[in-house]
Amino acid sequence: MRSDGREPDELRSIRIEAGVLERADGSARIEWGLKTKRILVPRSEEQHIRELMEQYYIKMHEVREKDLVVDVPEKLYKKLKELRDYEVVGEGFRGNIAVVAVYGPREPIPKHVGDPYKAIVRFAYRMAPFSVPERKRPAPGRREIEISKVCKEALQRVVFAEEFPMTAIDVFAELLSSDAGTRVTALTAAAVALADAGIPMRDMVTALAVGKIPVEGKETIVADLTKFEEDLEGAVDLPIAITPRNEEILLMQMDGRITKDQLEEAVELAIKKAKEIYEIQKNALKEKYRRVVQNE
Amino acid sequence: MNEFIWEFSRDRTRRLALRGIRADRRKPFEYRPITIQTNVGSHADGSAYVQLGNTKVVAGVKFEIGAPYPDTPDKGALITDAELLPLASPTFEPGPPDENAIELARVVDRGIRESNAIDLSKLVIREGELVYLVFVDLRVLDADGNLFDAASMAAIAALGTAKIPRVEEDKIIREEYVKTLELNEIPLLTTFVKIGSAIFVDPTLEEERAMDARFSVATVDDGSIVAVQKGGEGSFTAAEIERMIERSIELGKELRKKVKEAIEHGKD
Repeated sequence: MRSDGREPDELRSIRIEAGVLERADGSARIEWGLKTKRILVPRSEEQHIRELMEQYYIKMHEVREKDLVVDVPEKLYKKLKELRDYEVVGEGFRGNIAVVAVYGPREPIPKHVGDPYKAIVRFAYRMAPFSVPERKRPAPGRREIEISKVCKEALQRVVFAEEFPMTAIDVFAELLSSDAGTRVTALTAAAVALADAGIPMRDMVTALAVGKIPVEGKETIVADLTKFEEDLEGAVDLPIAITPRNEEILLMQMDGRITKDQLEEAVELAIKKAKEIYEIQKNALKEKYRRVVQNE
Repeated sequence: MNEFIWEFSRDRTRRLALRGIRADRRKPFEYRPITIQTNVGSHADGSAYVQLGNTKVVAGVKFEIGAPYPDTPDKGALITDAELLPLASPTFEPGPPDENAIELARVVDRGIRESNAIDLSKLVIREGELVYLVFVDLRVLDADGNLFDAASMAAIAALGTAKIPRVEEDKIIREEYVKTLELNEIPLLTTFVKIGSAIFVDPTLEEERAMDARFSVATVDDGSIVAVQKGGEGSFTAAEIERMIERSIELGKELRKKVKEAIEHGKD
């Protein structure tokens, strides 16, 4: 069992809604994370909870005079309940939330960046200052510029760019909340937003992170790491974007230390899990049109 | 070269690649000639000049002292920066680093950081207050493709010959050293491009202009992989990635021999 109660190959819950913005040509909102329960724990157990926090993805939510409100991932809570009954006082969410807008194909500004042979895809990945524990400075940093670049390259391949010469397809991704895997969250939503904008595509783009972490003391290849897992000693994070039908790898990055066999196992796992996310993406698009037709 | 000529060259490179041939007649997994020179700057605390074919990159290491990052009070800091100087290519423009320069610096940095090539915990002067900051500055002088591998060799050779300056009363005494910076690992990047169905290592600028996608792998001595970066608009299959990883482990060994020699040669 992982620190949040998940199995090694289990994804966090993913919710995508297409067509959420009025003015954009296409848009999507994505929530990708763990649902949590807030439970009441007597003050006398504070020491014990603090110890558990080292090992499990449990967070202190509120320290009150007589008791504590502790935030526990749902899966972990189920296991906890087998031991003892805690009073549940609320629910929470820990994960990534992003809103993505697509504009275009439209005239590029400045004009000279236009390509006479194809549309250029531009991608702006930005994190809101409040999306991380310490306030992030609003100006885009080097990390955001690099992520924007690899995401842009991943999408350029799938759109039929040659049909729209001298235009730009602009993708704007704003992260409102973050808990590891933000670039893959943004990219997964961006692909839905592109489809929502009616831009012809060769295939969907589905992204997720896989990696290697210690689980119960053993090196394990896992899907969809949390920030807690990413920060573990020896953790390897491997964001990857795939076309789910043809299994083409469009984005792949890695940091950490891994053997060749482990890396191959991780890529295989990513391809397998991408197909699950693909279904969620398709449903988001179908759901939008169901809504549109109903409102006619 | 203007766009028109590039179009021609791109067509030619792609046509040749169909038959598995490279314009410069190299084998698919053959590097261009490599020369590495260390101690090339007299004021740098460590430096190296790498020539990879016609690509030329200089790396300089400078130590500063300062406060540690709040999340690592018990560690010194490594800061890597790269600039694609306008002198290196007609397409490079003056100004702050663009996405290509940032990607270059970050990918080179990643291999060094993730392999723990330098033990940052040994670069602490007073925990939580004062640590060494290691700046690795990469300057691309001539861009003829594969800046990643050239920069990675330059960075690690510069670090391998860097000396740690003396600190007295919380000030660096410039160009007075206490010891050589120790390297635990020699992480090196190996970069491939895919052109049509062909995969070539160490691409020239011509090949990069014609490529579908790029793939870089950083390896260390024991064959572990410490960083990966895919670039470009095209894609790879899992089988292609497997093949490139295998090659990168072999090729990394050969590159490492060259870099080690240069470092040994540069130590006094």
